[in-house]
Amino acid sequence: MQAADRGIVTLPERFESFYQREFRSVVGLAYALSGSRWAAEDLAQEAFIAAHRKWDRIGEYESPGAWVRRVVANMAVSLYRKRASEARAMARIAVHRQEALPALDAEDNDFWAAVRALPKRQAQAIALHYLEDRPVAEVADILDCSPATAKVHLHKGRIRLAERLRMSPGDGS
Amino acid sequence: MTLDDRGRRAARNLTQEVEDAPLLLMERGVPAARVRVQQSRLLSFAGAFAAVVLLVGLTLVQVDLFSPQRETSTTSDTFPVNTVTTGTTSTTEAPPTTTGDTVPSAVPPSTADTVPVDDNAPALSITFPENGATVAEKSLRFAGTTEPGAIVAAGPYLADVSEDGQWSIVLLLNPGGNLASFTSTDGAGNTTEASVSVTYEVPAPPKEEPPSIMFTAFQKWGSCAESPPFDEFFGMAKPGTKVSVTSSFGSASTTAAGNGEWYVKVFFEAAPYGKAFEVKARDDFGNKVIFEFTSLVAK
Repeated sequence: MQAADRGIVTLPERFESFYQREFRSVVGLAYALSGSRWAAEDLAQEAFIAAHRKWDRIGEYESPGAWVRRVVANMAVSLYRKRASEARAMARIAVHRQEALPALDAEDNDFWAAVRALPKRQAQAIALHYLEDRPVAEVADILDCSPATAKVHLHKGRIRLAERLRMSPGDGS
Repeated sequence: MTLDDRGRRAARNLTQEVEDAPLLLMERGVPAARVRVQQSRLLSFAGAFAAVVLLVGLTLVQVDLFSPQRETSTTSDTFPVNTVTTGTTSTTEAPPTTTGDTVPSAVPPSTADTVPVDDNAPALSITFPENGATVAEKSLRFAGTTEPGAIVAAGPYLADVSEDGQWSIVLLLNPGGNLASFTSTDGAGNTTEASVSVTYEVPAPPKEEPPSIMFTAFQKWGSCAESPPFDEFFGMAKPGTKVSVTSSFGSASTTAAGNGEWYVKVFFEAAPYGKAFEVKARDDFGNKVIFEFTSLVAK
């Protein structure tokens, strides 16, 4: 980063460097919202390939990262709900199938499971808030809504999450 | 513990888990991602195909097991027997059977399987520009050589690297001193850094020439009945240059203003009554305009 710090400014960012920089954090977002470590990588991959196809346009956006995260957040929630629906169907025929997150400890696993159980927008806002520590304006940009709406999603999500985890929501925003 | 504490800890652990895990797609960028999509589809297909083959195979084996004529496994002809010598003893690894229930014995890895570890940092040189160079172009293509297959980056930006390790990248310089740092990372993750100092001297803007002004001159009256007779002349000339209005009966001069305008009033006290004469307006460059003036003042 020294070049940039010392006064060199480059031409508009190439997709490859955008991909290198953002891929892991997008996988993290997909992981939190889908509950599957491996599906997360595939989801992120799909989103980046979609961005690559339209990079002439998306690369001109002020924040291409927001676009990719929006795509991933929507796909991850959809995937989670589809899998949850399948799991319930399997449970009805008495086949127990546990979707575990072996790399996370039980407490963290419970936390993300509670996040995923929130309504879609609240889950996405909470994941972006905790995972990437993004301010409300950026969460709103990613979720393609107004900052006021994003703030409501965060507020309601935190309250509901605290109820599920039997914790105090605290005074965070 | 508050909700925020727990959320941040969960986020930290999840991020760490992603950071720690090998992400194959990160290694080669999007082309690898595409390959992986295709591979996963192929693998799915291959997996389904293998499952069908296995099922058929199992069926055949079960049939064979109950067949009185069949007493030995047919697989011994298919799979080679691996013999590994450990010290003075020799052990024989049984070939896998089609039923897949054979657990391989603990055997030290063969030396043939050893993968050499690449811990050599890739070479990285900057061939252009020279260190300390001064350039007049804001956009500059940096170039150099590195280990073939290595990735060269300037901060978050990737250079184009050819198959033989020639790399280049265009960067925009700020006026003054710039330090461009590059890293080369090979497939084993070894990294080399190199930097070059470049000064960008903004070329001085070309001296702005004032727009060329064509010399013009106009006469206001042409004749005069007042005493002393006079006329007024005006026009445009190169700013700061002298403009002269001359005649046999009176002359005057002036200097063109900054915007090129000039004006002069000329008295013709000795001009004869009723007789036209020439009045010349000229600048320093030889441009001139000729007028006539007639005095109407009787002597």
